[in-house]
Amino acid sequence: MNLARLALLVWCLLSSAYALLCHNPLSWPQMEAGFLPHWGNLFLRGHLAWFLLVAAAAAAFLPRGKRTGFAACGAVGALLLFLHPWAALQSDPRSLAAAFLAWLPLLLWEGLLLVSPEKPVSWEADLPPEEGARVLPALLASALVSCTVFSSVSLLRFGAPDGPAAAALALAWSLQVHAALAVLAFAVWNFVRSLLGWTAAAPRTEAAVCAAGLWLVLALVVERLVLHSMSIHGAPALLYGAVSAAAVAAAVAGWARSQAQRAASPIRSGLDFFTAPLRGLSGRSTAAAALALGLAAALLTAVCAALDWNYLFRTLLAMLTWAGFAGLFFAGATGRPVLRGPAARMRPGTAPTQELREAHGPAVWAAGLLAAAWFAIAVAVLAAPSLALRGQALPRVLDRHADFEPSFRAARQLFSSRRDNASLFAYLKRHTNLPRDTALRPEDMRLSDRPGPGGAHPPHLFLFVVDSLRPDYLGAYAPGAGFTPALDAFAAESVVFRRAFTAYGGTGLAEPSLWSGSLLPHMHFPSPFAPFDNLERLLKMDGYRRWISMGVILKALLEPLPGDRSLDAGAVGDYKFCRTLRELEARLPELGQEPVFVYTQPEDLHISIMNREGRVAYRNDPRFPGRYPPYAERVQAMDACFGRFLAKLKASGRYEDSVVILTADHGDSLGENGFWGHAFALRPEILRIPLIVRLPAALRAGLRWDAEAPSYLIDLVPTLYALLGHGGLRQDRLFGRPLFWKSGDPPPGPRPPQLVASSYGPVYGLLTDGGKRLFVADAVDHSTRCFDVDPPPLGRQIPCAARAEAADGLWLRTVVGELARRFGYER
Amino acid sequence: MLRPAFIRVGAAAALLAAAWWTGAALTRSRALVAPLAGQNLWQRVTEAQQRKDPRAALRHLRELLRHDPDDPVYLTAQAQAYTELGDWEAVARVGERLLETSPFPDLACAHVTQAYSMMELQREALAAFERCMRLDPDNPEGILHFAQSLEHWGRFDEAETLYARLARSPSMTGAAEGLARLRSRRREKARGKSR
Repeated sequence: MNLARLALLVWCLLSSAYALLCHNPLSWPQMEAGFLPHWGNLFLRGHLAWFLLVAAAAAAFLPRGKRTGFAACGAVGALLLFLHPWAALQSDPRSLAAAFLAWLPLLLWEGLLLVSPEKPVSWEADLPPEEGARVLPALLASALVSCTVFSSVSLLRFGAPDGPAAAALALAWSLQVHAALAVLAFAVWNFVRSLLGWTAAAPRTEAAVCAAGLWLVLALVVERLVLHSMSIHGAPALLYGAVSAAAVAAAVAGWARSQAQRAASPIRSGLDFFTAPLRGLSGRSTAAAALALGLAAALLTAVCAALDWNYLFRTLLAMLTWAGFAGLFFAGATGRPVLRGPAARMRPGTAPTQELREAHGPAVWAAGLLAAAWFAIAVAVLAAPSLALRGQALPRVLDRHADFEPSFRAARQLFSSRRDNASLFAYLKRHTNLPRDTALRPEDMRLSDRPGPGGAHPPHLFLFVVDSLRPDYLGAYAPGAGFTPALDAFAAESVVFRRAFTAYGGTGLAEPSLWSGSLLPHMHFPSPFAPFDNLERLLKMDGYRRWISMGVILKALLEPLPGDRSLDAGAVGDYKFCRTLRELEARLPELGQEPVFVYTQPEDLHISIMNREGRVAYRNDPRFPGRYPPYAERVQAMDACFGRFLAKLKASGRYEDSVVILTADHGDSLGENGFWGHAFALRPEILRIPLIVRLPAALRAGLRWDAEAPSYLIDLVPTLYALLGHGGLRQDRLFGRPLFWKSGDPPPGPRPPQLVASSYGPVYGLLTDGGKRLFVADAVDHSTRCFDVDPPPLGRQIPCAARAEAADGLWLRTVVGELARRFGYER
Repeated sequence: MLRPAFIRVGAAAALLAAAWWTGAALTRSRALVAPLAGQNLWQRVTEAQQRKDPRAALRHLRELLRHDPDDPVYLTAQAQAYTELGDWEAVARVGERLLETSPFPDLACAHVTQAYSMMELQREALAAFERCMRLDPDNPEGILHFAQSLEHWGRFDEAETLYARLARSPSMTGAAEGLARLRSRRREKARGKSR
């Protein structure tokens, strides 16, 4: 029966998760393009068949009287799945409804089993008063063992990047936080038990309360952790959290009930009921199970780090590990209280203070642990000025530890205050991921409408925006990277902007902002895009023909023009640099007097593509010293293709008529800080991009530039306007600015602070001091961080001065508010 | 019977609260190295602002500014509090400091121009307006305020030019009204002359 339960749970979970991913506009393009792992595609292709199989297996375990009803419901479900296959789900409200409905079979099945139990559970009459002596040690052991497991993985995988003293301090602090977490869990249990004791409730009632508690915790985890990670907020998130948690809690309770029905002795309490499946484990079996759990947690942490989305999987894994260890240790201690207090000698009618002391022996232990924690805090406060570890203050050491160690991170999140900077975070959330039906009434966002000078025909434009390319993997930016000879040679004859950044840490907004040459409202697929599509306007004004790889985003944004010729026509959402360049090489003879605009965004280096296509994770490859080999290997292959293409372009005689730009839409984290990808995070390595501009000699003559000044992806379009002779460019803090100016003109003044943002969540930042300092306000984690962006690529996290933090927060509000005003939307 | 139960529940609640506060203190490590932040002075300032008590806000702000004398957020809040008290001289002083020191001087414009206007210091107000127009030339509120002040000082032609810049914006009804007012005034004047 439990196998059928597990199969039904997995079917519901996968079906609902897929429907949610389809509903979410951020993940929908991936679903539409079929970017699922192999097993995911297998599940989806046989979705109806899996349902029939699982439902039939589940029905077999229902009592006869209930089987017909369940089968009838199953038939209706199968018919619905036949008429509306799961694989045909779209990004619309029906997908959200499907995500809810997917849990129905499990809820129905568990409900039917609950109302007609096969065999009653045998319960004790009273709650055991001495249970606290098992609960507190089990929770403490669970927290401390979890902390040890995850810290060990972190130390083995990443070493001690800030030195052994900082690592030791972080570990000691982490143990304190874990102990406090265990005491908090015990205190919750103790409080509930005291209320139940007051009402003389029975073990059966406590089991019901435990089930309700489990449901509440699961609902909060789903809503706060999972759905917020997918940028789903508000009533749908609350409701979905409640429904999915109810189904999972029902399955867990059903599993516990099935084991409790078979138990040899009566169930004595709620925790006894929920750990019934682990009953009867010997000490040796408990130790073996704990060892297996620890090893599995360690292995999974290492494996899912690169697949993770903003620490979601690792946080869930840490929580499951806490629960697993706690259950094991609690069940393993059956019949032998670890904390031998005087509770067993409690007599009715004793003096209240005496009774309090005796009945709450473990509570006194818990209070003692809290006192020890306060002692540690006091020592830290008093020693704060001298707690400088190689110039790193305690908060920074703890922040760094939380980057690497998921259990500490999860514990910290649980305790973290949501009041600090609450109004700033609420403000940022309101302006993030605007719904697609938000009405934009933008002011005039034209960069310039002055025509070009006419006369000589404009140069061909080649714009290569390599998804997720980091500058420190190119020799032009990092002399140690000797595996990109072609790109380095190209850089030698070009202008290399050394301090280049993207304004958006993700393609979703980076690509539209590149085309508009300005900051944009935080909205995916803004429509209509034409009023602020300044690149398209320029191409129309100067009569360019477009050869573009029309990815998912550009397809939604751009209007088709006569004379368009797609690149990568048959490969939507999976662009390979070498393949595109080969196609271009074949088309080079077509380049004539009529100017052509070439745009492609190869995805070879994107973290999801690398995960899907597989990576050979051999460390310390001598060809790529100090770099991530699977990524570096791809960069090397792309470099070779680029070199061949440039040779052919030169041979075609069109190189001197062409502006060639190589850049990236954003960078990436490659595990250096325990973080992979660019989901919700803003870090120097995600914001830094390469920006190499090669101009024909005739165009370059008489121009000036500052390669060391901060430059941004949104500067590209203003730069093209200026290069093509369109004057009168708008200049304010929302627009980029040209990177070149005429020799006689005064150089542009220093740049104001630049707003940067994650493309997917409410994480905003400010680059100040000439791109040397980064302030990040993370409204997902409710935290702020500051970085010294030098040295590249990772920069260095520094403490945020309270003053600077407040000022930067104000500036963020100002620019975000200005976006709302200029684009005419209300939040 | 009730009293021990009460004590038990009370003690359990106290333990729960203590556990929560201990965990929060352990994780909110900022308080360990930023003692000033631990005093929640800024929180008290915002609370004083909410209950419209500018004197209390100023008291806490003085303490904050003692540590960070040029903090633009604190200075902006101070200018706001002085505005609520009608102490225009102090508003102008703080606004000038913001214009000098803030990385975002345009945010001080409303304060400093309003203060000089209220004190009828036309020369200083005009200089402040011109400086602010250079800092943020497209700010509609700033342009409207400037135009209204120019109109108040009888510099109708300049005011009309500024009103005309804004008149097309549907949200700037004040500009359309000002423009209509000035044009009507000019028509009346022309009519008076023709008579």
